[in-house]
Amino acid sequence: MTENPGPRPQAADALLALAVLGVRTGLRAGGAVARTVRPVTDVVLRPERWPSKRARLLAEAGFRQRQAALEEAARVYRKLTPLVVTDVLDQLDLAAIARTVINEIDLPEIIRVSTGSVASESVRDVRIQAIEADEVVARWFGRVLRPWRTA
Amino acid sequence: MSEDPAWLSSVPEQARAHQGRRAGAVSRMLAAAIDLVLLCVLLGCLYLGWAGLAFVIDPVRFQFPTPTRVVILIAAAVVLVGYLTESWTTTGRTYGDRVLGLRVVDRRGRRLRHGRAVLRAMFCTVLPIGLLWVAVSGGRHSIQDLVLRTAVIYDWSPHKHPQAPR
Repeated sequence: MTENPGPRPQAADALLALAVLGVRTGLRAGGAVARTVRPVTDVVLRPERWPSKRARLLAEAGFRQRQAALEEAARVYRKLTPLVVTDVLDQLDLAAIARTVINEIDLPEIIRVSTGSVASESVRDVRIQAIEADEVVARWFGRVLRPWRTA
Repeated sequence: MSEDPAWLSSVPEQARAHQGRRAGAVSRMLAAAIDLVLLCVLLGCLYLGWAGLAFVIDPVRFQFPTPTRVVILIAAAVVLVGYLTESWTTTGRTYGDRVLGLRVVDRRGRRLRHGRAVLRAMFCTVLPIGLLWVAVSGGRHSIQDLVLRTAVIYDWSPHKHPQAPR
């Protein structure tokens, strides 16, 4: 019987690794360049310093559109989130999960201890033994007094 | 009032099936034995109180009181009837019942009213042997239960609301 070797690396994976490496390096280099030139660009690229009024108006329009797009995205998010959450909750058996958790933490025991309903294990044992003795006595008397009921 | 779900009950799993069922002879006799011990303790306290009072009133000629048998029996009967009545009308259980996890209810599972509780207490005091009928009876009734239409059930729950007997 042969063991399943499982997934193994392929030739395409080398290309993928190269691409990831390239993107990472590019991002890192871009970040370094941006950090270096930021003091200059912050001053030079301020809208009020732009030479053309038309470019400034264009930028303001773009800004407004960006704000509108963000608001729209937030609205869609707020609308969709309850639907998704409700659907997820519908698919979950919350009662079963709660039961599992309660069993894990032994909530009945905590209730017993907190309410002080039963003082100790020994009292519980006495009660259970008394119930068992009740059953034995009832069965014995039933067999003697009402033999037709016990087939 | 809604009952706790079985998995949330404070009653251990092996005893849950018995809750609300009529209690058998052994449980009830054990409970009665505990109540009898408690009665003796109460009578002893009463006697000591009586002796203390006599000492305070006349310390010079003090002697321990020597009540007659009739006085002792009457005192025991009065204390027992009062104790049982008070227990059954308030929590539905005496101390012995509490230890054994029993509760006295009427046929519909309600706590006893005062009149029926007094009658039952007097009946139990006068004819304690009626308890033995629980072992013989198929429905686990004592003679007092049959006459006064009451029942003693297993009820380990700490709640004050009894459940209907099964």
